Amino acid sequence: MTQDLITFIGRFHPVWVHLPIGFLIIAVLFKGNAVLGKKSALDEAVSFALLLGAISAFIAAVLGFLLSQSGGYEGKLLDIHLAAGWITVLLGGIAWWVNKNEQRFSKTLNYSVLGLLILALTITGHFGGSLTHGEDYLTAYVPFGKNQGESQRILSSVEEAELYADLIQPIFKSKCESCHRSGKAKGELMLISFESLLKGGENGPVIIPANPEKSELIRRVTLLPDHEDFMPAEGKKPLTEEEIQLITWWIEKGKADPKFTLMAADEALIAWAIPRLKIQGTELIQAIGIDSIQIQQLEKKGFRVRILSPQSGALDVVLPEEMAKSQASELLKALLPIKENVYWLSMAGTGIKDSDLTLISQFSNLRRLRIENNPISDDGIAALKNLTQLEVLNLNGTRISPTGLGPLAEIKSLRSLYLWNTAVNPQDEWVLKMNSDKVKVVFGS
Amino acid sequence: MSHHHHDAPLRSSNRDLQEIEKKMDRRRFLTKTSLGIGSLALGSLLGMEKILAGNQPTALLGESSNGLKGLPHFIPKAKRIIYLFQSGGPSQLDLFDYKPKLVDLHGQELPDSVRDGQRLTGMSADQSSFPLTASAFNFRQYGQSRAWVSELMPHTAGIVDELCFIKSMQTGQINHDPAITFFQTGHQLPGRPSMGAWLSYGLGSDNQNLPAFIVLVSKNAVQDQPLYARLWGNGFLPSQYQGIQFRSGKDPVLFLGNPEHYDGKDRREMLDYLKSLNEVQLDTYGDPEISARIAQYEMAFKMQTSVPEVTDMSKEPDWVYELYGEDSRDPGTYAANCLLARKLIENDVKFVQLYHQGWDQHGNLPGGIKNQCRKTDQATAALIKDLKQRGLLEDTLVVWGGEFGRTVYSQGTLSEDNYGRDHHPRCFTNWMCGAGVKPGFTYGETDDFGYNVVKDPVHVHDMQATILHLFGIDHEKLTYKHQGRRFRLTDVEGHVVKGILT
Repeated sequence: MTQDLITFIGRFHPVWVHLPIGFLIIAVLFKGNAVLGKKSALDEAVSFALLLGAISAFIAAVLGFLLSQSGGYEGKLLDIHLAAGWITVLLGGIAWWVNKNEQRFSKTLNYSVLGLLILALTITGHFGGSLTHGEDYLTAYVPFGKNQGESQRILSSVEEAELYADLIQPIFKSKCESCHRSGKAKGELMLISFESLLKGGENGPVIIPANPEKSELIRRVTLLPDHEDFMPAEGKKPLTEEEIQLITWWIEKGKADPKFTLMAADEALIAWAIPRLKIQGTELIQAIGIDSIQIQQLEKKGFRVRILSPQSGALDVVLPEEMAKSQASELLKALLPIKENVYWLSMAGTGIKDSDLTLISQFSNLRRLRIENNPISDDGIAALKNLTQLEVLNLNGTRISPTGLGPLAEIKSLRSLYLWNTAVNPQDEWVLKMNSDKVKVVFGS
Repeated sequence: MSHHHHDAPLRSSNRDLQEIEKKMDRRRFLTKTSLGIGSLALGSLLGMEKILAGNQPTALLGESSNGLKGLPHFIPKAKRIIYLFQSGGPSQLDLFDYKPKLVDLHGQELPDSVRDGQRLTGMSADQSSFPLTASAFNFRQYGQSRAWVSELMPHTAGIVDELCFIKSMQTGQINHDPAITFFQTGHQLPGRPSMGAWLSYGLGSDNQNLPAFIVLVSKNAVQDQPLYARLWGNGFLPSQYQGIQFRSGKDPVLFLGNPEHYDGKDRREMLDYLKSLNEVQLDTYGDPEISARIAQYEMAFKMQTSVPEVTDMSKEPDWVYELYGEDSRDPGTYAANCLLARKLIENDVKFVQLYHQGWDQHGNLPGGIKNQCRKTDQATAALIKDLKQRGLLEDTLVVWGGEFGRTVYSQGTLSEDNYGRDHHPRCFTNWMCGAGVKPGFTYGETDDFGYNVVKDPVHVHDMQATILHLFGIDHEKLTYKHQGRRFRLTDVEGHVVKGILT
């Protein structure tokens, strides 16, 4: 009964702590304003605000102590938070005393005490927040950090993936760890590492290798949500069915072995698990907005789409002759949403026309372009000069004429130009000028 | 989530996971039984069967035909490869590796310091004399690259500015079977997946109507050393990744045509029903080979249309046959296979593997090699020219070479106009050409005897690593776990030969 009362009162700590924070900060702001802006009226309020701050900080500290006694909190974080809290109370009292008797102390001392007070307040607040939300809550999303947002490690390939480390621990991390971690091990259970998982909680082990039915962890997460024992408790986001299945499967088939690799399992599991993994490169392709559904839709239209490099999102897109069915111009428009990603494009023999080349000229990352055996002429080909990355251009069997070649010289990146079966002669002046160590103009053998 | 879930048997409603569970069970079952403790796994297998009865299987196979996620590791140079395998071990000393000093040393004994205690094959180890043998053929330099080529290969001489010669090839194997197995699978013992199987496993297929990996064996070669289907096999990879051999004659692929008096009209219906039956089996046993079989039936069905189309040479103009040589009109010859290889490449088949046997000249080398060159030289050069003019060399890699080289000493008696050469793994010449490889370039050097590599050795694993690299694959990262360890094409070795890359 007493324990319950202590817990009840202690739980007012999180709401109460905001009072001393507000009082003490406003006191320092008043002081700062008074010193810089010479507003003596605010100066008079400083010691009153400090008094309120010190008293409310004392009450907060007492409530906090009661909360810490209610269980589930322990360790270094708590110790620091507790000590810093009491120091804050003490400094608040000193600051009040010094300000009340301002003329008896030097200004340096006064300002130093206020400075220390803010420092102690900040430290207390930070460790309090870390206790509640987890130690990396603040730093998890720093933009310049190594692991943005998530601790899930980045793999260089699927082969490295381990079921526990790469798939299961991230689930614990997001769904369980806020309560089951060092400093706040509810039920004496920590889910921060494989060792702590294996250790279990106050009622013994939570996983029994090869036996998910007897594993307490599985029992808890598969209860009805309103069951007393259901986890995650307190209305926190429950595990999804897939997550439960994965953990169950690992305990049963993987015998809860931490080194059980994805590759040890089956290709099908690899395919299933990959979207959940952080594999080098795969993030970026998502970042530029290409997903497998988009690719599938293009393939339904008749394109063959191949990823050239997941890192850069570069694609090789081919429209086979037999799939064009005199619809090439229409089909080409379907590529516009991914025009930045098309590095290699083949529309050979598909029946594209001059007007389509204006569209293709928007594909700014194009490196290789095969548009041979199409009814295209000088008018359309001129538009290709906008392709500043183009390295290979196949114009075999087109209606290009010697006069139409001029604009192509503007493509500085060009290294191969194919003009077999065209009206252009290998001895043409332009060809001879263009043909160099850097650029090869190729005709029939 | 159901109440008292923990009391009921645990089951998965996610289809993919069910697949995984089943396959896991099977694999575990087999592993455990083979270790003699199968009863445990059997229990879970049988239990799982009941739970899973009546579920629809998923199209996991469709995913795998598109290659592995995360591949290529980087932007590739090559999209396709034609490997012109010259089986038997062509004599580098009579084709490309010109050794003028041998003319003076002709007939003298091979110095012990050069041989350096190397073990020879049982075929020449007992010889009392190892006379140095200069080539009977004249060499000249060709093209802007000034590459040396013997008079045996006048057509190849005409395309040297497209080729990248590697004169410092090395292998650890001295006999045909292990050496060719080494070249094709990265290991001298049978059982590993072939290079083409690795590539189609990793990168999938670019043409859903044709296999990604097609094999063509010359019918007009001296079949001195046998070829085995395992050279283009899938090893421990799922069997849909194995190479498909196209034959000459009426049926390029065996058993693909319809039987007599059957019009094939209800074939689709029949296959759909067969598929549903197979899926019942797949559901029950979860054997991945059932998935492979379903995929293979589908591929065979598509090939009933696509193979006759792609092997139809009637639309090729006369100048093409003239380019490839008269042999090319006769399906199944090396020349016809080269032409077919081009057509397959045009249809985005990823790996076309040609084999031409007959390079194993232990005796009567001058006559034998002349014959070999006559059957291959023109078509090889024609293929390169043809690919080039069509723009296909940009993303097609062509590799020419055998499994090892031949000795500088004569096997058997060295006479005025005849000699033989034994197997020589320490150095030989291959060439590569096309996508991402330096044209008109020679890499590596051998000593004046043509016996040892003196500069930039390229081991078979190095060449394999380089080929994978050109396809955008880090050879150390394309692995497959089998029997408890990860395997890769280059085993535990291999370095990309950066010096030959553009």
